[in-house]
Amino acid sequence: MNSFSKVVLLVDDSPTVRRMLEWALRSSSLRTLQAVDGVHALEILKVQSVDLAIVDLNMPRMDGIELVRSIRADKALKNLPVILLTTEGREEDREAAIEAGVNLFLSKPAAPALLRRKAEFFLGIPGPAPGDIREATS
Amino acid sequence: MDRETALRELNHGSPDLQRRAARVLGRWGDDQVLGALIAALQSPHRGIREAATDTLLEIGDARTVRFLVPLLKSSVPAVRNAARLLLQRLSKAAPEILVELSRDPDVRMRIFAADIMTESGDHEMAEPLLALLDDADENVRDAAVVGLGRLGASEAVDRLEHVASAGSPWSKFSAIDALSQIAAPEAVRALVRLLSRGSEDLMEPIIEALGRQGSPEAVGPLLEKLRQSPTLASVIVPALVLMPAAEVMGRTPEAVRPALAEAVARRLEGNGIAPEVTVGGLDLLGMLGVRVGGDLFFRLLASSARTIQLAAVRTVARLRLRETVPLLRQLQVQGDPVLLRDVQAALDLMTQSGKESL
Repeated sequence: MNSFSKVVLLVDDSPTVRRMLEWALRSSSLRTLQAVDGVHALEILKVQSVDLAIVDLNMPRMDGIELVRSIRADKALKNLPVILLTTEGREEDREAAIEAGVNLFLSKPAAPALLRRKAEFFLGIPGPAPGDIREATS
Repeated sequence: MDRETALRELNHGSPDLQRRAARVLGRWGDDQVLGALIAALQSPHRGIREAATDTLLEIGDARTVRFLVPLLKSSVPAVRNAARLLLQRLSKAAPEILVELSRDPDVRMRIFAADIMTESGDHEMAEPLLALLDDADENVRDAAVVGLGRLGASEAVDRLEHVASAGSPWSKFSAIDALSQIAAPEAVRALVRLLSRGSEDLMEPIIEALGRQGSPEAVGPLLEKLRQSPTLASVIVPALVLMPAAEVMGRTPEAVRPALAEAVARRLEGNGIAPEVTVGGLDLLGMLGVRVGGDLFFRLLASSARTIQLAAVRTVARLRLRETVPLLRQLQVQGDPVLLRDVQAALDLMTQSGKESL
């Protein structure tokens, strides 16, 4: 596989979190794009091919759940894997996220190595076993 | 429109009437009106939500803040976000309510409190954020760390350095990032200390933080790190080139300059480099006065980015790279007005230097 052959979109209104995610994924030789909220993410997704989105829940203009709904409603984007990464661990948020169509609901703080393994799993980069994914959702 | 009509229309009118009523109600601003406007923030119609938001901002007193706080517990993320954004803008109206929120038994409320204090941009919030560094919950502590960085709180440097040394990987990263945002010499010194004794897995964020700080004080320690760990060149070189080239040059011992120039050139030959790093790298190469780089200069002189082309023209002139003269002549013929003056100056310099060497 070529370096930078996979593209991950990081969607979070916190620049610190975006930098953290970029760093956590760096060793996977992925290319990352950054968006500050759901509206910005959709603008990027219209013009850039993306293989995975890691999305925050609470963001201005358009939150993570609304963004996932918009992605799933779009013919061209509906199969894009989405990891929702949030400090909100409420059952109702988790249910809303799953109903909206997220592939994985991950609570912060997630260890960088765990995050990288999950991202690699969705990108089809060899590494984690499927059981690994369940562990993060429980 | 009188108050009663406006309240009735806000509750039962068409979307257009509701929007108009939400704006008109700003004339009164009593508790009943505030309650109705808060309810309108939860409307499915964007126009009504926006009108209610504008009116609440206009009223903007401590009562408004108190009315908004319960919305942070809404089960609808969009409502929570609307409340958070409003509270950020109104934080100065009632800072004591935010401090109260930062002691809420609900972890999520304490995170909201830290986030709102952060985005308020109000340095007065540094003190309650410092108190949140002792919170039992890691996400609250992390939100406070982020906030202290964003507010540029130099009084938090010692605590942040401690978190960067002893927290979880997530917290360590946030603390390093926070230190990079505090424009104070003590923050640079803390990062330099972390550079020498921080954990290896966080070396890249520490170096990048020093690059963002851009302090010449970090040049020596970064060069020493480059000597110890050449594999970190891909991070150290971009950090160095973000600093003023003259400062880096002045602090680089003469014996080390060829190695640094080689490292810069190798980095510039790589992929995915930000334009400001390329420009900084070229300026530094020019200052170092060491000839390096094979085809590097030919490639950068032909770059589609004018800032990179200009930096390349300046550098080949400083280094007197006469082999680039044919390409400079080509640029001269193309007559790009942005480049023309610098290209001419470079050609004059090199022609003169050629004559001198003859």
